[in-house]
Amino acid sequence: MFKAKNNASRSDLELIQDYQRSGDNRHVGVLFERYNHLVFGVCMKYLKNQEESKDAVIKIFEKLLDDLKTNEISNFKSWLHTVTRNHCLMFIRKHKKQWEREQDLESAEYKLESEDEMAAVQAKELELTQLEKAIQLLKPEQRSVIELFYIQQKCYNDVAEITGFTMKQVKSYIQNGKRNLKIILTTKNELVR
Amino acid sequence: MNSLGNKIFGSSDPLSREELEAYSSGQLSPEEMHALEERMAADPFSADAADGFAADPTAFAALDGLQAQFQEQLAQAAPTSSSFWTTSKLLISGAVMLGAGVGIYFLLQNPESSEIAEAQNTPNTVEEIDFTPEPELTIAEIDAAEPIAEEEQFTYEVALETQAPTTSTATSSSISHLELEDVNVTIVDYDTIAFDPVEEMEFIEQETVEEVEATTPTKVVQSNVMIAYIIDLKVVDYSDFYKTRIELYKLDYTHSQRFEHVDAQYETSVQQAENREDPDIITTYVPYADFLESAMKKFNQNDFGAALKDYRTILKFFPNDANAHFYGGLCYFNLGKNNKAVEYFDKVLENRINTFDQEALWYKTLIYIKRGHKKKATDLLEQIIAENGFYAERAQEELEKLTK
Repeated sequence: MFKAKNNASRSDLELIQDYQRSGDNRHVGVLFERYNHLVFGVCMKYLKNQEESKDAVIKIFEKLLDDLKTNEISNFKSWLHTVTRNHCLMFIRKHKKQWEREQDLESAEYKLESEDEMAAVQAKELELTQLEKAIQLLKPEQRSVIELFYIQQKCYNDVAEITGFTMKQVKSYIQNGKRNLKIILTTKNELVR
Repeated sequence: MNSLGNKIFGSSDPLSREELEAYSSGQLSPEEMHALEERMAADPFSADAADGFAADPTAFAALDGLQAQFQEQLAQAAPTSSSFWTTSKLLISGAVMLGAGVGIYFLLQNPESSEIAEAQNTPNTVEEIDFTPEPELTIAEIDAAEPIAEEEQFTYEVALETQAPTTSTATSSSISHLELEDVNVTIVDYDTIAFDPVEEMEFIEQETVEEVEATTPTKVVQSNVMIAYIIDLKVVDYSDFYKTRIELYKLDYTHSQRFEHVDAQYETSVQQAENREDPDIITTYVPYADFLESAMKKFNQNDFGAALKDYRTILKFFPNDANAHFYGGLCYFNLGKNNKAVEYFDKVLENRINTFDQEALWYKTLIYIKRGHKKKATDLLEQIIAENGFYAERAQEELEKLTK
């Protein structure tokens, strides 16, 4: 089959480059094996329908066959996530007159998030005290949830029980807390002692 | 220590399918859950996917066929693919099965037609059923159901254009030999509003349709019971058979039926009673024909939820009613409930009354085609073609589209 490495150890980028060079769509097939369950899950989240979600997965990967030929994609995973969400959003707009979450989806203009910024923070040699102090600067809800989840290693369920927040709130506070921590650490670095 | 920073800001490998399944099974320990959740917090793609499966854990099964389906697409898209692809084995075995299937089809081409009739009457074994039976929708669920896209609906226009020309070979007295049941049922249904009587509508008996050019008799449906037309849509004429009237209940809060005269000393308690929402129950009795007509009007106006509720009311009183099953099936489809639609069409097919058999089989086939159940659709199309009825040519076209 493939001469050099086995499929599992080839990175997304390698697969894409091989596909761009050779036009052999079996490389995209490997990407399909790798990610189809995630694309399907995300479609299920928005479309809430197994048949529609299956259709969507196929359509998304078919479109990939074209898009991957011409695009430079450095972070395939997050690019695919965005593509999937946008596909669902367009589908919902096209097929439903009312959709209870359309307000949520419309307000979130899905831009391609660069995970590079996050990675840059990680790459810094963070001293424990720096990060700890940043956590203390968070709002109380975000702080307590971040402490419980990351420092005490509690699972979502337990965090929810302890704090009395809903699961949705817990996840939301974690995400917002992370974002705020990043802001604190990258922009006000010199102020955090 | 760097690990906290890594945990919070690092990105994570996406969760595999097995990990997602384990997470949604709810059987992991809190520590195991936390470990996966940490990765999910670092990978929004996995987190989103986990949310999708959380809402419907049965969805994992849907992934099983997906890989094969996509490999099929790949194979079609790249005909120069070589034989070293692992799925070439899949394709080869698929081709062998297809060849065997075609062979069997030709063998069956010269059977007695009774074989096909028997196949139709034999209930599917559990393995063959693609759609699993579901309970009836509640009133709230019907109200909440979103109709499918208009261009895909089986609307009044579609039903009118699609229905097969039909004559009746029956006289009115011959229904009884079909051993239908006349059910006398009293239902208290607080959700059913009272029916406003309509003027009597005459059932028009259908004479032999001469404009139909079909030379072969099977192209015109020979209904074994009397038929009639409501807003030009074909219905079974049960008027000689159903003696029961449909009983509808309405809640009346105006208390118009209560005694007006009340002694002064009791006035306060009456006022209190009125304030306490204590409705009267008003019963109206509606003849089947009128009730059916009201339902057909709602169908005509594309109000599928309301029409469906009426068809179901009919079924409460007349559980084998072919009109309610047939048009109710169309409504269920338009509301996006394919399982129920197919279930209703199957009931039409099981019914000894044959009036809607060809239409029901046709619509059922269309549903399978639309939902991509290729194998089942092909079987049904071949059945329709073999029966050489009204839809045979259309089935031929669809079969060609399907097997292209």
